[in-house]
Amino acid sequence: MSRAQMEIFGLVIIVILVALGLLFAVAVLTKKPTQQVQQMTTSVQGANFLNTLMGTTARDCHGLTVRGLIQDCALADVNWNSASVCADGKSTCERANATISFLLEKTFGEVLKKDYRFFMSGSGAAERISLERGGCPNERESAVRPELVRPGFYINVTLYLCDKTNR
Amino acid sequence: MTRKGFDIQFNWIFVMIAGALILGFFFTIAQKQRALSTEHLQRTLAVEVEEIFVDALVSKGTSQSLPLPEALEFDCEKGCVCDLKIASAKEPFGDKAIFAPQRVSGQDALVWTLDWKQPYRVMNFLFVTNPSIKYYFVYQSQQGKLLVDQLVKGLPPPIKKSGKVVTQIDFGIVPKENLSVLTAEAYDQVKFVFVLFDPNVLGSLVPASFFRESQVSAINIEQDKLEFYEGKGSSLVMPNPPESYAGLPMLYAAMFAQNNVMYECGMRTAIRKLSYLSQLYLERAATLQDAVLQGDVPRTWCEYGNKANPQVSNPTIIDLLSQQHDLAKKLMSQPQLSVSELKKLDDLQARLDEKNRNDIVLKSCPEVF
Amino acid sequence: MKKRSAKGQIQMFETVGVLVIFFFLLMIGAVFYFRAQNTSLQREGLQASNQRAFQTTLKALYLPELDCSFLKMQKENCIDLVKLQKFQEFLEENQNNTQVMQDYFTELGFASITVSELYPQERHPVLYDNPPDEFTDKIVKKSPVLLYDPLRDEYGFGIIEVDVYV
Repeated sequence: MSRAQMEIFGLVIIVILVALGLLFAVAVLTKKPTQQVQQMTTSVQGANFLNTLMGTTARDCHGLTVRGLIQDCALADVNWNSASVCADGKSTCERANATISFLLEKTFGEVLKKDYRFFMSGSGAAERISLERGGCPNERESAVRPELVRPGFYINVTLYLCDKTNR
Repeated sequence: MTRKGFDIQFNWIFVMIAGALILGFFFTIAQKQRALSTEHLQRTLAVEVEEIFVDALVSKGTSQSLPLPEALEFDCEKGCVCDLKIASAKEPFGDKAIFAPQRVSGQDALVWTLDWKQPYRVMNFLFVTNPSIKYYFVYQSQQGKLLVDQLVKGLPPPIKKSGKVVTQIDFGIVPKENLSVLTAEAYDQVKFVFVLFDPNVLGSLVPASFFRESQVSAINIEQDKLEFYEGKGSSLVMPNPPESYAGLPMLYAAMFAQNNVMYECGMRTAIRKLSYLSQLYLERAATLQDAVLQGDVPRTWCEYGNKANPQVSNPTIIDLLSQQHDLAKKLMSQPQLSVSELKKLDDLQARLDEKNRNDIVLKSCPEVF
Repeated sequence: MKKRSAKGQIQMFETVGVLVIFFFLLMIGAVFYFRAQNTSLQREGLQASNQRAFQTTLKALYLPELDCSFLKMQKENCIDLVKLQKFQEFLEENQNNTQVMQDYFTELGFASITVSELYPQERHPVLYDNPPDEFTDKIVKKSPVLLYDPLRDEYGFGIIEVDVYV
């Protein structure tokens, strides 16, 4: 084969390889990252959970919702002594703790199969309610919700969610 | 021929075949890529438009803008086969009450959702338009002006982004005496909403210049019926018999619908939904009544009625819901929606609302809706 | 003469060989490219299905047949338990009513909707079940939802699960 033919053939091969390489590069570069979408879904899930949790009516506590329990608990002392008492003799703080723990375990532990960390800040009594499964020490998504206790007094309700770790 | 001659010819044959194969290959790739891109665009558009419509449906009473990279075409045929077309992609919208012109293109569309309540929420009406369509409200009497004011007051405001208007319902209010001197502007479509006009005079009311500039259509709102007109030559003609209406949402539906077929299809969808919901609320009220009788609801004075024993003189809420259900079913079976039955529907919804408030809620009983 | 003929033949074979390798490389490139396109299309299809599943969940949550209505105002993210039960019965009774099933099919599509109550009691009624005869995948969306009991005037906690078939 003549030298000229070889050279031309070589050029053609290079052109084809470069074109293919460019095509793949364009295809890869124009792909939207899926990680962000997944993170947003998890945050929305957390926010949805908190919203629904707050509106749930607690058992045996004068028809109070979880929000009502937290509002009452937030005004109590750190030992929960001055919290109001439910029909079954438990304080609103104890009832809130039990209900939130149950719902977190049912929702994320059993149904959605995610690790979580739930806690509140802004009130010593409310801060004692801290629940977790796995703890989410690393990569996590969060949902935060301010709850009005009384004018000018808010507590922040936070939920971290992350993928289940192997235990 | 010499050997060299054959050699040269064979070379050329090779070149031609190889060249044709290479060209053919790349041509096929380009065609396939084009087809894939078109499919991708259509699918994306269809999903995005569906998303907008679902968002609009759950938003209730709001308006939002919809960018239009491609024109939207709405088509409703007799038999209520309704499709939304984007490029060559087609999406049916039979499950939604959408009222829109035949084509919306150019500037961002405005998608407005309005609850249809009887008096509980039955479904949302979806209205689609854009600033390339002009609406003229025309009145000739004080009563007409009042209705025009009511209609205009209910329209959503322009939608702004960063202080700039991106889309709006472009309308004007015109008394009859000013109609002849109205100047036609460069709109794609012009819709006249005549209020309480004699249909016999409508044909030639609109200046001829409008028919040259734009696609013209109109509706005439009479006391208890609606007439749909389309532009033919330089006058308005009414190709179909009048329709009925009851309440403002239906008037807006007529205003935004491209023709009477789309209007009637939307109304039938709404009334069919009403027949299901009235049945549901009836059963719910019956359950509440049973709970009262069994002592599950600690308010023994709550009275919802008795399905098996309707009261004529002082109907209970169950009786009214039952009447509503029967009326909706009757309307569905009619070839054309009857004026008198629609008026009864309107009357029933007011009585239901009053019953729920005064006989149920005010007595601290669990409300029906 | 023989030598020249052999030389010509070798040259011919060389040229053919070059072309064969050339087209072979082209074909490999094309196969890779179309595979990548296919994967991309499948991913897009999955995204569209995810979107549809999300929309179906939204529609289910905002159905007037299920929503919590108080003096004609709707409470967000809430399902009325009595309406849920009655709507379930309505769909069961109208299994053979083409118009009813068509109406709800155009609204909800090939999907299954289950509303599970987790608190205060556990129940898992299936509201809508319409899977296609054949499907390649199922997208599951779960969302917490309030469950209103009008008899007790209390809100329970539930999870609405929407399975969309693709």
